[in-house]
Amino acid sequence: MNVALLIPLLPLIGFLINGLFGKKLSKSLVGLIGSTSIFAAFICVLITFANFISGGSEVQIVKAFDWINVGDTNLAMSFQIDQLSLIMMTLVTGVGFLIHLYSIGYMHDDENYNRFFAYLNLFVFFMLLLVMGDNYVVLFTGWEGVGFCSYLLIGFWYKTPEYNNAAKKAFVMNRIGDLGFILGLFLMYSEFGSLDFTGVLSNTLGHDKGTITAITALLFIGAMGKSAQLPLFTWLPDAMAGPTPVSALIHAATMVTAGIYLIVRSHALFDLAPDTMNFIAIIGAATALIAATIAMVQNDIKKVLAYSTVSQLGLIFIALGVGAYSSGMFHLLTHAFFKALLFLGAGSVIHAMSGEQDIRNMGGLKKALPITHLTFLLGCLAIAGIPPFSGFFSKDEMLAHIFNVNPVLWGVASLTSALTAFYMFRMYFLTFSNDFRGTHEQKHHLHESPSTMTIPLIVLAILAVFGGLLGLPEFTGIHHGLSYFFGTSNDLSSLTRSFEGDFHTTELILMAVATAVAIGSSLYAKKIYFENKTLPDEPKGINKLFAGKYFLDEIYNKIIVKPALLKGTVMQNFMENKVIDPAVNMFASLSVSAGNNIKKIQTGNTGFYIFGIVAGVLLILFANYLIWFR
Amino acid sequence: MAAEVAVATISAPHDYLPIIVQLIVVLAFVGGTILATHFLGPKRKSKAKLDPFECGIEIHGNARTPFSIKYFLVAILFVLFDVEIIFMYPWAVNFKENLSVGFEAGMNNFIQMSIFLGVVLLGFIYVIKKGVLKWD
Amino acid sequence: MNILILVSVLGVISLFAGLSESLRQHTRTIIVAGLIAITGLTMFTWNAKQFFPEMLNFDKYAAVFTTVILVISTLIFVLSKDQFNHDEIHKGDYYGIMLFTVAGAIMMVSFSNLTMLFLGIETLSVSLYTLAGSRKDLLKSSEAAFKYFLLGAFATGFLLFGIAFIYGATGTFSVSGISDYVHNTPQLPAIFYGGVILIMIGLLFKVSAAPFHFWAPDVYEGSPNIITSFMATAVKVTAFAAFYRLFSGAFVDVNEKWDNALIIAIALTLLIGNFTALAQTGLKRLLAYSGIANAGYMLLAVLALKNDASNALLYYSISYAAASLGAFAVLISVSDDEKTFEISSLKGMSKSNPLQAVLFTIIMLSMAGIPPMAGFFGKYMVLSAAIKEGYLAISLLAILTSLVGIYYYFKVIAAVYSAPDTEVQTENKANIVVFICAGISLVIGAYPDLILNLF
Repeated sequence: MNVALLIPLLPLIGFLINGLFGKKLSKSLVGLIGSTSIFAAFICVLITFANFISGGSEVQIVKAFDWINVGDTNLAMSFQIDQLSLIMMTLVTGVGFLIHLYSIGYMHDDENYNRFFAYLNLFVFFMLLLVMGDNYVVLFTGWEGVGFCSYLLIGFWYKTPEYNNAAKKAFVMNRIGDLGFILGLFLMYSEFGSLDFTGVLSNTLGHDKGTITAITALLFIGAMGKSAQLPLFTWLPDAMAGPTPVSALIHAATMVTAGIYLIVRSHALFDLAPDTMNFIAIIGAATALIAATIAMVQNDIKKVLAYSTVSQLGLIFIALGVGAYSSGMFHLLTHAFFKALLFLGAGSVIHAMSGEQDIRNMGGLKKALPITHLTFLLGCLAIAGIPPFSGFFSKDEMLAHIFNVNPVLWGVASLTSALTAFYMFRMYFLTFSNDFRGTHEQKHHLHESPSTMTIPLIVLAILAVFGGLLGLPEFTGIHHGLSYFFGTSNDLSSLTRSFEGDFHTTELILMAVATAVAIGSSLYAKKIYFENKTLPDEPKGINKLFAGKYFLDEIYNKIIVKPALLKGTVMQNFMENKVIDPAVNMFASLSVSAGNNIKKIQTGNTGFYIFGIVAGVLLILFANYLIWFR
Repeated sequence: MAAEVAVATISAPHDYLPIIVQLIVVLAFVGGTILATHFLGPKRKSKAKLDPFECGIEIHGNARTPFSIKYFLVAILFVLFDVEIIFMYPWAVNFKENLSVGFEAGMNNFIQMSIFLGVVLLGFIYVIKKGVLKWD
Repeated sequence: MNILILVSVLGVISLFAGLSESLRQHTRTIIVAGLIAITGLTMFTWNAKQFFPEMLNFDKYAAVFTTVILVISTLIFVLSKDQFNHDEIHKGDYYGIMLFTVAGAIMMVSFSNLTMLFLGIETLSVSLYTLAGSRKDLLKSSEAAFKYFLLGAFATGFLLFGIAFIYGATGTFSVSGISDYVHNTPQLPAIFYGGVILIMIGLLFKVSAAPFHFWAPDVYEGSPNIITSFMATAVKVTAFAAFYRLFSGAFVDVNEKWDNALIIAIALTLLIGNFTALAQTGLKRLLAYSGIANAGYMLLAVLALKNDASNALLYYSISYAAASLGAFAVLISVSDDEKTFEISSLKGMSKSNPLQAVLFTIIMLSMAGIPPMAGFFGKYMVLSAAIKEGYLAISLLAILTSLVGIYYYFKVIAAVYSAPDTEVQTENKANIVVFICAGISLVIGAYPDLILNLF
């Protein structure tokens, strides 16, 4: 058996054990099974990775079993092992394992401990299907599966109605995107007659341009839903209702990057559709900016991070839109490291604060939570794009590519980066510096988290600091790790875009500008929130718009939800109650009375039966007489 | 042969004419005979005439009294075995002929009848064992 | 052929075993063992064509249906434990007669000559008349036997009349001879068509299709439960197999001359069967009408025989027989022959016997044609066969009436899961036959190929 088959199987086994028997197992055993299954999968990924490299980096298709055979179409449950899927698998299992480990401590007091781990394992299973599948149907299965697990986990504390609503909102929003995705798949099948990656992506020549544009646009609509882009991003901030490890794993590091993975995977198609690409870049830019402005005025520690995630995903989409796939993947990786770190750090803070999430009630946690504080700071530096932390490299690579294609988009992206640095340090200073502003009871309770929670923080912090080494800029003369890696594959080498002519000088200038902007806005945040000890108050002016999240939820409510509900009410009151119900009831009562009448011919009298038989014979003979001699 | 006849005729309702004619003849004969006896015969309705004829012995009691099922069983068994015996006539006639064809044909013939008689014998044993012929 | 002899010999053994008091107790065991052995032999000699020249042709079709009949009969013998206890002395006789019925059934599915068909039908029917009246102490049992006999004799008249017509037209009893005649005669005589229609009427009676169904509810109701289950499963499957064999073998080329007659019968059967079942309160009578309604669906396979619908017929037969036998097995486990068992008496079964309730639900869902049970695929197959042959209107009617069917099957399920009227004792066991039948309904629903690859 191929080791690669074990990778998705192990989390599934973990899910089955914890889901079926978890109630009977002790908490420590449940946590052990949940984390070990992911860790074992991680080891398998590393083995597969090593085999892949030593095997000459040849793309491998590993078939588990024949899945759907309809007509000429044969879809197998099979996995594609190549550079792209390996990176994603490493990310999913590696970060996934750290977050599982973290959850052992974080969820320790929850009564539904086993359910949590079962869902989490199931999520990893589906996520692995998503990134490993060698055709769009397996990918879609994983896609739907992670959406479903996300729903389960957002509504994990199902006793609070608000959380349930958040879960439902996430599900419905994703459904809208999924509809686009599946329509795209249908169109793709009718155009290419195949849903295999090889069948579609290697045969892109000679197809109608309009159709390709339509397919890519529909796929992007799917990506919009899953990766929380305008106009479908409003579910992600609400999804913070779930436990913090869930936010870190699903809504920062893995699931929300599925849309990016989809586009990078299908880049052969997207390259042929410049209109879609422009559309992606514009949507990405709008999302990045809007989410960043909202993040500036949020006071919930997790909401800030959520909007930050949306904004960062928007940045990646701009990069994808200008064709800088490899840079987008690079930022996806570094973002996964530092955003998971930040979420877990926030979780640690919330843990220490006994569930308090409002940064206005925190402050001065530096002393009580030394490890959390240090790692969180490193995370902030990384996301703010301050050299030499990982975010700096990945963000600047993207910015350089964007500038190369469209300086206006570069302006938007830079502005977003500046805002990012500002709101991250705003949050950092409000949380960790100055004096404690919470209640006395909370202060008494403050403590550093257990080691199962701090170890993941430390590991992720190391990754967040040094992750940039994966892709040092060209002018340093060192191989760009990621680009080089993609370059070893025929299909994926086109992921990397190189600059035309001598770009190094421009790149250096851009870098300097970005660094200056990042440091400048960080210092500005320090001045306001550390030195002046300002506390966020009621938003005024344009801040009202930001704090109200551009009133998108209200607008959606007004133009979509309300009219739909109205239609539903009318249909219920008129169609259902006045037309359909009576019609159905009428048929039912007609049938029963027909039965009561017909049964009267069963008199019990043999003579009558014989009469009936003779009548039947005559009927049949007569009917046939008409046929024989017509 | 019947097939050839059928090929020659084109099927139409009038093909059934002979059947209808025969039907009419049959009905007419039955009805005619009944009517004829009704009108031809003399009618004398005395008590002696209306009594069931019982070999000259005077009747006593109702004929519809229950009597032992044994009579019925014996009667029906008699019919059964009687009919089976009839099968043996054509066999016996053909046996001689088959024997003249050769020993094998004769043997075949013999085995077939043995099987038949064996089955009849089984039935007979069953009847006796069941106590059908016990007359107590 | 060997199978036929073996079954008959088994019947004779049963008769003689019934004579001795000590052997009588083991008769049923001997028969079940014997039937299993014979079934095994049938399957073993699956592809070995045996025939008795011009009379019986033991081809694949015959072998497959013989196996089905033997399996059903075996299950019925398993089920018949304690069913003839009221008449200890005649136990062996009843078993023997049932085996003779099976022998008749085997003749009916393997005939290649009209005389053998007639002989088979009569062997089967006369045995059944007797069995229907086997509860001599119950008036309704005698009534059932008498009605069955009278009406059956009447129908046999039609059948014989038809056979005579056919002989008159073709000069042969042989199925292949008739087929040759149809092939080689450009203008068939009217008498031939008359014969076809009369034979059809005789067979429609045997499969209890309307308007010749009148005997079925009364006979099913009056006969002892075990005999009713035998009639509703093995006998029905046999009658359809014979019907299909005769019409596809001899009359397939003139199907435009008889299909309208069949369509009329199917339409009446579907309407009367389904709608009358709606109005029933007794479980046994409901099953009787359900049997009539199902006959309508199976006749669709006969209607579509031009394009080999034997697979569909076989599949439907097995799915129907499994569901019906399972339902009767449940009926036998909860009621006796003496009283009418009302559907409402099922209330509380889900509490008193949850296992059996679940199995019964599976069986009823299969009957109603809910996927993934076998009943759904059976209906699907006969309908698609009929639609392929262009019989759209009648297929549409079949679909609509099957909706009606869902109502009364669910009425039974609803009763099973209703709260009991009185406190009930909990036991969690089900008859092995119920188990097997529910299992078959599920397994061949999940893997229809198991059956479809038989031919």
